[in-house]
Amino acid sequence: MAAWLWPTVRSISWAPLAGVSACLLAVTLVTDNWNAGLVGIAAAAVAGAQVAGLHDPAAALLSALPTSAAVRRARRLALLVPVALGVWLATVDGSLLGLLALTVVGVAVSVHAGVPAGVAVPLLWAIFAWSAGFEWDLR
Amino acid sequence: MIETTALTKAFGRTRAVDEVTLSTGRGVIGLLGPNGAGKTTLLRMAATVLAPDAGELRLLGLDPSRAGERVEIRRRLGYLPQSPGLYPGFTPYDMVDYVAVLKEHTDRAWRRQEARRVLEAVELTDVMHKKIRSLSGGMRQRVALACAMVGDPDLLVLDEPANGLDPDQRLRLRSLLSTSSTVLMSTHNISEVSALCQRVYVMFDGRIRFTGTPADLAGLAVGRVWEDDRQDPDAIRSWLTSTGTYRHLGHPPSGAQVVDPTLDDGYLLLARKEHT
Repeated sequence: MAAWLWPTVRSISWAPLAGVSACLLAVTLVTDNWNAGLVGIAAAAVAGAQVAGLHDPAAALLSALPTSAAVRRARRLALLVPVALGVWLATVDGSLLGLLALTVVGVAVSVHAGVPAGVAVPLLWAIFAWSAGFEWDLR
Repeated sequence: MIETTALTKAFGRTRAVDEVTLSTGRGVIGLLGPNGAGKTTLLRMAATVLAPDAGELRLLGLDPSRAGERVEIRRRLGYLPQSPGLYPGFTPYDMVDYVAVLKEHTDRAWRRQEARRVLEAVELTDVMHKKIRSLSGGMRQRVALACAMVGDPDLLVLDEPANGLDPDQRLRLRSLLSTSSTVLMSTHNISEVSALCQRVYVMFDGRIRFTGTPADLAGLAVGRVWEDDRQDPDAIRSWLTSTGTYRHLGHPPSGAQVVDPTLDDGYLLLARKEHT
């Protein structure tokens, strides 16, 4: 096993993804009907939770190490994305494309503007789409 | 070890570091200056964390603007930022071990030995298996310092390393740093500078305004410090000392009891000159 794997797993804040997963599970238990609006909100929440997992409280301390921030971020994503996909496939009746698109945008924003902004973008997009009655069928 | 030529870094319209030129050899180098003088920005560039906008920077004889050389510098560098975050769920041992992993040390036995060595150096072996969330602020600072020391780096860049340390730990830090190869450290604690540093740089408004030894800095105030029972309105600075007398900086009046200057006096005089 690669030496970075277990400490990286432990350094990730899994709480956002766990919270979103619990919510999706609860929704699955309540309804069988994943309509377009619900799928959109679920995609935004899962994307946001993945980006939230990129938050690294020790980033400043680790910033001058040979293993760059980009590599550390990629490792975190390599751990977060499969879990998020598993949760998605197990709970939501919808296409993966919307989730992946929102995740990519959230990650890109987080790289340049910080993790809070990266989390906010998919959530704001979902709120915008919902409030504007935007036809956003990700099923 | 660290060479800069007209090094410049701006944030918006503010030039945080403004055409700084310096060259340091081995030893402990202190960086003094008020808040916002540009010390942290200069240290972040010296730690390869921040790229300069203009000027030249060479660290350990290498150019950090080249990706390959930057990685090589980072292998030989230890960096303690001003606000070093840690993982609360990790133990000090886990944290140091993780830093060693990210420093590309693959040998587990070596990492174990190194983690023990650096944690022993900062006197944290008794709590090395306790969660960081349960440690005091001073202990966390020492964990971060231990992380910076992994691999016995050729160059240590430390931003306010004595933050949160008690007097005993400060003394320990002094003896630790005095055995290190090259240390560039910022501090507000002038006694640290006089006890540790072979060379001092003083920054104001992004520029280096003084370079010399601590004795040179104190020497700026020779003949400019006097003590009296009363406050002197003509003095540049006056303050009440613990002995109940006033210490004054400026041009002493005739008959004044001129005293030997300290490093604080030299720094305060320099700071005053900068703002007049």
